[in-house]
Amino acid sequence: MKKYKEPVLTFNRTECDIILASINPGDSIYENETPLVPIE
Amino acid sequence: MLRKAKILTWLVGLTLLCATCLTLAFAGMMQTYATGEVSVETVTVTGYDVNKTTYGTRYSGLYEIKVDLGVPLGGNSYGIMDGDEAQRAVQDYILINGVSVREINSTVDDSDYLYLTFPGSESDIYAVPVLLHVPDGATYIKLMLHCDYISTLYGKMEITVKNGLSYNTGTDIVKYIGEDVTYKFLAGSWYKSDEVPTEFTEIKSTDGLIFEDIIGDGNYRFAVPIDQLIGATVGGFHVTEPGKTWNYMQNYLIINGQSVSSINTAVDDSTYDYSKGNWVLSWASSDPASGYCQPVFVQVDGKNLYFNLPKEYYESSFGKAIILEILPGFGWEDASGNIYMNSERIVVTRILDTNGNSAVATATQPDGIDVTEGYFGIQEADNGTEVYFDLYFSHNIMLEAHYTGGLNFDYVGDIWSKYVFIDGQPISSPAFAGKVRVELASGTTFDNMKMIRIYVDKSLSLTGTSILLKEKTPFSSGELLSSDFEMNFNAAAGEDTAGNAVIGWTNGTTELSVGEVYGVCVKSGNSVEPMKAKYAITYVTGGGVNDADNPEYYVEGEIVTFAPASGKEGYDFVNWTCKGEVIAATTAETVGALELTAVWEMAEGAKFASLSLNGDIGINIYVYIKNISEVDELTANDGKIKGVKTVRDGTEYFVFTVGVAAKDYETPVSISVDGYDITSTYSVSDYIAAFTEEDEGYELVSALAKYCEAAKVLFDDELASEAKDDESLALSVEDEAALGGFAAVVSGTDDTVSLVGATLVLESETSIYIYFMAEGDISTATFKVDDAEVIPEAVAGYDGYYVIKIENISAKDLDKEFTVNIGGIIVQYSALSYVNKTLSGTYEAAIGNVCKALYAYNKQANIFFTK
Repeated sequence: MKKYKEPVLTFNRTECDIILASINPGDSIYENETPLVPIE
Repeated sequence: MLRKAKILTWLVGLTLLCATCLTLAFAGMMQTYATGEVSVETVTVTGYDVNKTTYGTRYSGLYEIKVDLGVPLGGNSYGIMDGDEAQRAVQDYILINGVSVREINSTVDDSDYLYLTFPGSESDIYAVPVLLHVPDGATYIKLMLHCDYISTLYGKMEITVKNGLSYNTGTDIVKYIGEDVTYKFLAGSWYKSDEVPTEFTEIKSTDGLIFEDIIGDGNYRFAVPIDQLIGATVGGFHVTEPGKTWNYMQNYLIINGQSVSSINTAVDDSTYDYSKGNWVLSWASSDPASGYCQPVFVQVDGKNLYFNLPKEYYESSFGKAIILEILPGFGWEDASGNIYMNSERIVVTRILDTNGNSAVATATQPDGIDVTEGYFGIQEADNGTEVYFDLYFSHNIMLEAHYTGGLNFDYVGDIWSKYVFIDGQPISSPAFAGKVRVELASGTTFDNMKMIRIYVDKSLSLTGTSILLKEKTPFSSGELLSSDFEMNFNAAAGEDTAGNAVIGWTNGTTELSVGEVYGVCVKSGNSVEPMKAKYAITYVTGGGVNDADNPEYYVEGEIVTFAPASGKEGYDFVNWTCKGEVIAATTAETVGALELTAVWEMAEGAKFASLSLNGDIGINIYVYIKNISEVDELTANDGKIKGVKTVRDGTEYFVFTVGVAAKDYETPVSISVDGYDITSTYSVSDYIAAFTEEDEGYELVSALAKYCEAAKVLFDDELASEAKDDESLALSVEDEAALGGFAAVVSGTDDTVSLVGATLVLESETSIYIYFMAEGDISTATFKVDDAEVIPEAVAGYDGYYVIKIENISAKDLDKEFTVNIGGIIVQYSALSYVNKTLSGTYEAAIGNVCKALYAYNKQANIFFTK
């Protein structure tokens, strides 16, 4: 079955900062959800 | 006896011998010929047809078969039997019933038999070889067989010419090339084995036996009619009659499991010769004390095969069956020498009553009739000159039972006179001459009863009389009375309503009182109470199954309680009705035949389901529940699904609509009605499959099916990875242009929010999710969908991400444009905006198929709902 995207936090060693999880085109967050496309 | 043993040995031997033959090579092959050039014909040569003066007895009783190769076989005339090995080798290529002539001849010492000394029928056939002979200038090889040997082959005669047959003509070698060819001799002609007319391969007699009465002093005959016996001649089958091919046929004729041959072996039949005319006459001198002292004489005459049985043997079969069998291979010969055969076992059965009368033509096993199980009424009346008793029977069979020669009262009377006894004497006895007679009538006094009427002259006193039906009283149905049945009459047991004497009757053991239980005898026109009749009960089950305990009859006055019917799927039995009235049992007053009709009502449960055509994806399950007309709504699955009352075809149902996500259209969905033991399971795909082109909404359902299938693929990673563009979903130029009109329109600005994108959620209906990002508190911002304020949901796990959900969009609204205010940004968007955006760029096949299918689904929904 489809694996929906789970939010992932990553650590950027260079910047010594936490990069927040992001939602990008092609992602599906919820069940039965189609891939995200830009609105325009 | 010794002779017969040898016959059997030969028959068995012929059957078992393998058709393996030696193949001999001959040098100097010059010509080849096709299979079709071989033909076979026969000539029967008897002592009457040849000049004995010239040839002596050597031809008498010979049977000749010509195997014609169609080519000259040389100019010499000589026998193969007496030739050298090159000549003798031909024997390997000529097979009789699969056995080579060489093999056959190996069982005899043929060294003494030269052609010119062939002994013919005067010698033991088993000491005589099969002779092969090529006459001068002939194109054929002639097989010369002893006639009695031929007789053992009746019905199964085959000549095979083996591939490779060659014959040394002395100057050349002529070789016959081709496959093996086999000829069968049937009905006087030779046929290639694969060209045998079907009428000669099977003869069956289904007409049973024709009984011919006694001739003279004890000649009993049964005739088996066989159509193919046209032109057959009269002939005997005496074992000891020499030189007759008929004799061996006795082995194929079986009487009660014993062959005629076997029966006659036990008899000294040497003095019985049909041709001498002493066969019939000899019956008179038969000695019954010595057993079957006469032979069974079998003859063919016209179209009948006759079994003439000795009187003693015949009479020993009285009261039981005579079973005649004709085994496969039985053959017979007509006046022209044509031989007929049967290929299947023929069995004909004849049942004789105890007096030797024909009980039936073709009979079933006589299980017997127990007349005491029937219902009887007896009525005595006076027609002026005689008193008669009417015996009423409930067995329909009884009326038919008496006719073996048609509806002929005299015949019936004659037959029954042997079985009906009054006071221990048959009614045919001199004491009753002219005073007792038996008739049959279609009695209607009691329903479903038939009548035997026994007339008794008034001059006879029947006081204390018994009437006895003897065991094995025959009925034309094939049944025989299983045991003696006696009725006793006791006079002056009471009086009828007119004061006449009434006699009761018993079943032979128990004397009954007047009017009790079954019946009484009364004067004609008078009555006695109660006259208990027996009535039929029929059941109209209406698709159900009647209870085995429900009787087919009831006797007046008896209380019969009717058990419910059952077995009608989806229905519960309510009650029985008769003429519109509910009936649970008969009463003491019930009379007449009854026809009971089962009343059914629908059983509780899920009755049927339909596909939702409301623009969503789901199933409507119709549930029937009795006696809750005051309830308008039920729930199922612990309150999760509502069932709304609906009237369909006059019946109230609760309809439970179960939504299904597009991708789950093949997954069965179940409901369990809360508070009732009712569950039901259906799947959307089952109902999609049930739609036909004639059904309204077919195009919509077809589009739905494609959409669901595309969704199923999209949400299965493995299927999606293998998906290919579905060409059937390809968009036309017009479609693409139309889709372009659904492109999202974004206007306005807002520095605090930014658009991320949009998705569709494909549930039973469709949702549009619009994602955006915002920094900080958004509670002061304004969010609307079509001027109605909404509160965006924060996307869990994604800080700063929010989603506005526009839910429950039906199929026909997939093209509906929503105006969404996100702070200062205004987005005009429909589900088809998503489709347009996706298909405008680069996309994977799985999502592309979903978008195209969704577009087609919307198109069909618009058409359907506009209608």
